[in-house]
Amino acid sequence: MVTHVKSDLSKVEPIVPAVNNVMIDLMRKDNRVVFIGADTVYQTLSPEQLKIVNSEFPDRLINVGIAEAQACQLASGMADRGMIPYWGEVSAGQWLFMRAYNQIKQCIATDRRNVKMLGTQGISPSSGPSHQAIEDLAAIRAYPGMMIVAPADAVEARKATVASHKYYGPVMIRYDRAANTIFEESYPFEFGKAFTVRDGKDLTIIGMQTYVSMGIQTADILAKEGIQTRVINMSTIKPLDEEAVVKAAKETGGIVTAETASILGGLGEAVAATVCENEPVPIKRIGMRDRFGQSGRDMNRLLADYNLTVGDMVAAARDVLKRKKK
Amino acid sequence: MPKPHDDATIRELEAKAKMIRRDIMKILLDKGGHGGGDMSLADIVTVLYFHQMKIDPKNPDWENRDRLVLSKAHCCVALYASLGELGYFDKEKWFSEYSTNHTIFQGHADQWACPGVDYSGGSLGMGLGFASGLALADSILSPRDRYGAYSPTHRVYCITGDGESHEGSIWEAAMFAAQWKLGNLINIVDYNQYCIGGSISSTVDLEPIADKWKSFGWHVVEIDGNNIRQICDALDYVDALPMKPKCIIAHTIKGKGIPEWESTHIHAGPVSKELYAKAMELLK
Repeated sequence: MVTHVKSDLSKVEPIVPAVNNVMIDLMRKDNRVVFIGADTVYQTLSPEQLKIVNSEFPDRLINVGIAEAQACQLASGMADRGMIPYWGEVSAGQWLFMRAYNQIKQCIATDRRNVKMLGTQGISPSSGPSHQAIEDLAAIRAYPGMMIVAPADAVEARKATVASHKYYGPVMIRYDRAANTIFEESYPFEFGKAFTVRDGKDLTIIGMQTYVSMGIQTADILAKEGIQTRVINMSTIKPLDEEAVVKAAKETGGIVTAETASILGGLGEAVAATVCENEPVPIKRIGMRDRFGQSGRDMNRLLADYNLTVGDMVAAARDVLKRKKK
Repeated sequence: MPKPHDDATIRELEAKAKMIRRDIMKILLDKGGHGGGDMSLADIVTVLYFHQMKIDPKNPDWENRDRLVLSKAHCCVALYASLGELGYFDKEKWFSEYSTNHTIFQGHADQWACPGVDYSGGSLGMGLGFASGLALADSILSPRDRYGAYSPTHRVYCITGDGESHEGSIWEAAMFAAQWKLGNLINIVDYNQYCIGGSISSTVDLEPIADKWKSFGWHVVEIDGNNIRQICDALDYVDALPMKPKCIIAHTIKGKGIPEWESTHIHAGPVSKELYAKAMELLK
């Protein structure tokens, strides 16, 4: 019996404003929390939220200008003094972290600094490949000790942000630009723990962010053919919940992974490596297949161009089921 | 109040700098390293650790200590030599273990492994930004008076190299520190004029370096960075300046103290037994 999942998934809630409210709460509760942004911070916060921040804690909203390397270096120094910097590229995008990739290694990862990195996901509609982060998961996964979380909806995004404050160490949270709804407020978020949002025995879809709700849609389609699909929200990409992955491989015998990132080095590759080492079963990965994106105001068409739709997930599931039968 | 540096103090510090250089040569004889830069900044590090900085070797994590961020972290042998002499660790242990397996004395000093080290560097151009974070945190954490001003609990010294000043991240940090009026941040440029590939001026010239820092909103002082008295004077002088970050451009000589190195501008390399013996004579 799956609990904590809403029965009506149609009423979606945007994620970024919800996260900003959590940030304001954290800054109120803990004067060690600082919010560092590289220019885009003013785009991230709504005028109301900005007013609150500027009046209550003007010295803890730090805009470094368009200077991501400095944002990272600064955060590291402030963390050294016991502060908890949230380095946010929430509005602009996850891709900006790559401007400071080597800074992240030396100033955050190597020294295990208590710095949080907040960004938004990869495939954005209008800005083209420069603004689409497809490489961040592969890049950041390669640094030891980094926690990487990609919440599925606003409820999980809020809970992950609160949890990042309680956890000592570097955390990267990759929020979804799309509005989604999956969880009830009772959902017990925990770093490193996968959550089964739909149970099934024939096949497993392991997704993150928007691909959790798309995974449910895929499962609904397959259910009409009598296929019972398990859908797992793998919001923590690193450390991966290997136990849940191996269990899914053993119990369902086939896996489809889906992510808004390159299939090279991302969630799919992490799942595939775990499966290969422990319980080899057929796998198909949905994600950017070694290609750059392009702009496109019609998001659905953009996803279709890169085989990232529910239809592609259904096709991937069929492919896995076919290979499973052999 | 600045510490007095009378003639006797200067002589003492000069002798200490020679001793630091002897220790550097001792390490380089066995293990190799970045001798040119270690020697060019030896006098600066000596004055900071043995005269200027508010530190307590018995309490390396003292919250209100002055910090030294060695951004050009490949020259950490000069740093280790000072910390060992101050008693942060057993110097003999450092001589035998430096950059070996399972040691606290990493090839680039690690602040979490080695007592007294304030910054784990290695990749260049990041120390000044890190130091700006320390300085800004102090301004946020310190109580404000009724005019909104605060008294810094400590100073943050940063030593950057001229070569690493080619990194854009140095200038991102420089702009930021000026914008936030980080008056307790003091950057010392070890301007020894040479990087691995040759002279700075023939690579990518930094001149007019003083004007650059001034135009970025910093107080700027230029000194002979291998002259103990001038280093002491400059550090006292910048302490008295109002709330703006300070940059001391220390004109130094790469390989200072070893004539063969001064003429060849050596960056790194082995030390022969003959050179070592000669250096020990010169640095008596």
